[in-house]
Amino acid sequence: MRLCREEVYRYLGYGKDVPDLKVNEIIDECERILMSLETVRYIYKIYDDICISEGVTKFGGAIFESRELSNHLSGCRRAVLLCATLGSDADRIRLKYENLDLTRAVVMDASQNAYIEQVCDKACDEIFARVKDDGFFLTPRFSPGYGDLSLTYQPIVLSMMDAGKRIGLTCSETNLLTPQKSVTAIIGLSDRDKKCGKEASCLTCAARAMCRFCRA
Amino acid sequence: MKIMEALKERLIFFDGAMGTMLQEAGLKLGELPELLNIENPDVVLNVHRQYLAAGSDVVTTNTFGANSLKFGKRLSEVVDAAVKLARRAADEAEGERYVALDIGPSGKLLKPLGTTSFEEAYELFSEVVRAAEASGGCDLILIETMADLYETKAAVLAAKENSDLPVFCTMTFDENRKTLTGGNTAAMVALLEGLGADCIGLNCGLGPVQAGAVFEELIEFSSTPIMLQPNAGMPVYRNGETTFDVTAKEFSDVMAGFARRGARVLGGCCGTTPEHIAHMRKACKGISPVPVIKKDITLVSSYSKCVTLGKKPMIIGERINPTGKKKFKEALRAHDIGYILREAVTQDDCGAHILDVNVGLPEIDEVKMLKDVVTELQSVTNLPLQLDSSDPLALEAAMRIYNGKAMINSVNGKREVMDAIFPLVKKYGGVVVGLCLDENGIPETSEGRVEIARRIIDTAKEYGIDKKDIVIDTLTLTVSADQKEAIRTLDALSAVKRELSVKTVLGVSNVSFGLPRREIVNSAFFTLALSAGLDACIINPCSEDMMRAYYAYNVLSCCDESCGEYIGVYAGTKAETASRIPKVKGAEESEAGSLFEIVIKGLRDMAPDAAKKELENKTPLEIIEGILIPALDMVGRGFEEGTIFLPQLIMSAETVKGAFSVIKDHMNASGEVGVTRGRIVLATVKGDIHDIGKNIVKVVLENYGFEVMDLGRDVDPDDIVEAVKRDNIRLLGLSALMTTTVVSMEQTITKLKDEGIDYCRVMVGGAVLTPEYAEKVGADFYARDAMESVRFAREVFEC
Repeated sequence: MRLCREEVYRYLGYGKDVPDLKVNEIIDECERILMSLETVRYIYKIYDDICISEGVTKFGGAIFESRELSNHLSGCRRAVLLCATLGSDADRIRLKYENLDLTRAVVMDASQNAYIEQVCDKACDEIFARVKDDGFFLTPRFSPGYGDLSLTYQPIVLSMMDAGKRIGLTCSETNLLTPQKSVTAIIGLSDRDKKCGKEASCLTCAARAMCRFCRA
Repeated sequence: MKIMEALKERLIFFDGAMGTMLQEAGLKLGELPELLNIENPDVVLNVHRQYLAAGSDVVTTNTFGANSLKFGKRLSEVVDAAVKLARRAADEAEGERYVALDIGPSGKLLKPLGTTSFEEAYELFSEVVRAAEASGGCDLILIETMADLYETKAAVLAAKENSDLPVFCTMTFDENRKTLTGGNTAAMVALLEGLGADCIGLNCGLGPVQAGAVFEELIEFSSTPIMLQPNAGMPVYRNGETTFDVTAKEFSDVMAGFARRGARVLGGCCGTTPEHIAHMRKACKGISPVPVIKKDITLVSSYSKCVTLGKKPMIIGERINPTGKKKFKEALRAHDIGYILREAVTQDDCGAHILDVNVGLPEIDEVKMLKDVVTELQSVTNLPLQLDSSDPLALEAAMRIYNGKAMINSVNGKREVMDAIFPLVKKYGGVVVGLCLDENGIPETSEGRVEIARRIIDTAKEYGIDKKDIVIDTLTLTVSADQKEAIRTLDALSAVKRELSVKTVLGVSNVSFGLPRREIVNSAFFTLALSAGLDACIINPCSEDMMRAYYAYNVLSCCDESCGEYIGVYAGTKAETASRIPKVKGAEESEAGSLFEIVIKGLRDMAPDAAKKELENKTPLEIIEGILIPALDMVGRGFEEGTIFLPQLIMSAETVKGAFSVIKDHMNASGEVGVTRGRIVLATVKGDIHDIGKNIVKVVLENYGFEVMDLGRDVDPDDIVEAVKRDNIRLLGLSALMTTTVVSMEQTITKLKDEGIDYCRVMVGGAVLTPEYAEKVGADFYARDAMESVRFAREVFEC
């Protein structure tokens, strides 16, 4: 896998601009380090007992109260939980740079943000490969903390997936994922391709007005 | 017969999966399996009975996820019920059967990567052990499915300190033979044997076949009986469910193979059933247990790195030590841990294998300091540490929270010192340095030093510490005082190796004290010591002369296979490389230009020289006000206008930092007092560990001449308020990333107001914050980015 440059630029705040050679060299170095990480892992599980009603989504024994999630999953016949992490080594590298070289730390941070999304994209490709023959399409990923889906669902999702034991992904008492560069997400499986690309997910985002990283 | 006696005589069989069986019995997703101990005890009892009937010698209590985070006050009740059920089933079965108290991971990542402290994790595990001890009925404690070595250490200590039961311990590995948090087999063995675990091994994560590679490494390093509880294969994805499909027969055949090669305790994890256990017992019938072989390997470890002493000489970096270093002392007094961390990373880059850590200064609290420094070091380097202190309390505090098997510096031939330190080494594990001196000083003769070394080794043995965990230092003395000292040291070194066959270590630089060009003598002495059989040396790895001697010696003594390391380091270099400290990229850019341009371009490495040049004909204030601040303003404007981006802003900020450091040195040397524009406290609030935004704000504020007290991340409101009160701070900056931690921000501000502190303004920042949100939590100012924080600081301090 190659690190997606455009995404790193975006997280660094470049928008449509392109960084100079020096910054690009640092990104090269971050890419080399990230691609050799041994703690990058993801797991997912497909639930076929999804039940969506007004503002409430149920599957796998869990009840998610969120209007936006219900809307997001409307018409879906299955739900997928995805947990992915770059692992503790990614945090260690970033911490090391924070103490040594803040420029590198900032570029590494942005590179890791881009990379964890790419890992999730890869997982979604894998899920799609499994379900496409059954005529399913994937919705974009929807995570605890987005819109009105509370972060308090974080430990519930982790527990449903046994993520601590399987990929070392846990959360703090304040529901922050640890290791930091990790994602938990709910994905819907729908009969229709909703064509919800990344730009579309930005278009529907509640934080759009404030967000400096908006793609839309 | 107790379990440890049984283990000496025969193979021991554990049970298989509990979760798998409970799910089959109707446990629903999302239900806590441990509640069944109370609500549906027959289901649990029945699982135990099935395993016992299948031939398990040991059944594990249904307490894998039992901790007070999940069960609160009901924890004792849950554990008590579980122990009683397992005991009852074991007692009903024929023959001698045992009950293992099952302890799984807490589900929390420990600091510094997570927010749970080592002590909190220790307490979580202790509660379970104490609950089980209260109900009685357990024969051993099984700590299993651990993903993180550090958490495992907390659990083993909790077990050992709250009970006398034997402790068995297994961790989960992946196919790269790594634990989920990046640890490896050798590091696990070093740590767990150091802590005195009675049986160690692997469970979950892998199927029996994949477990083979980890087993090979366990056999290579472990002097402790090995336990294996793999899954029934790798997970298979079928109809939306994860299943395991290695049959009982396949499973058993592989497990019997492990038993023939030395595994002593066998069981199963996810997907294994009583059928697997019954088959395995049958397959292992007639296999006589392979004796556990004591390995004579001296291992020093961090969470992920194991250094073996005795093969190739190892470098112990000496730079984390305040002796004779003014800047280091200043950093210690100011609790500037960043300075120490940079020393660590630099030595790591220069080729050190182990880092000595000495933070002793008369006026600081060494116990706390050593503990803090070790905690933070573990987040930036994976090199094993040598804990260096003359205070046993400081050593114990650091050994307790150290994530690995440390080197301990040091004991000597004095009985009282050995009596203070050896119990710590026995309890926490470690490789201890023994200095050849005693109440009578340093013996002049080599025989005298060997004698003390022998005494140290013998006394260690009384404490149950093996010779492999002792490293003898025959002491380097100064040749300018007595020229024969070097020969005596080397003679003693050879004699110690020859007569006691123990590992050796030396500090080197003392030898040249008082002589000119000390590096010349140091490196020659170093080479002599290496050829006398030195196993580890405490030196400055950033000294090119020492490292040249080291790499050359390794080539000539065949320690560097095919000269690979030597070539890797020196190929393409020229003879006159002054320093080993790696240059940051971009340094080669030669278009010097003025300091102003250097800042604008962010050419960090060129800043110190340019600042020195400016100091030749300008005052510090003229440089700061006339060059640095205007340059920064220009960069800052560009950033706000969107023509300059974050990495460039930070490069410029770090460039200014480099120039500042030169200016500060100059002012210190000339006795000038620096002017600060104001003191600001920064903190990332309680519960939040996302620190990078705050660190950016810090460096930029410092650039503008503000003095920043950085309290770090995950900082309690009390500590923040305390810091503000202590120094009458007029501006506080708080950072929080997520909505859940913005709450801590609000609590901190409320507390500040409750205490009647009206002189301190508060600025806040963080990803989810907005100006409205900032107002709601009671902040005075919302800073969208680092430049806005500067603007507000200027307003507050009217500068």
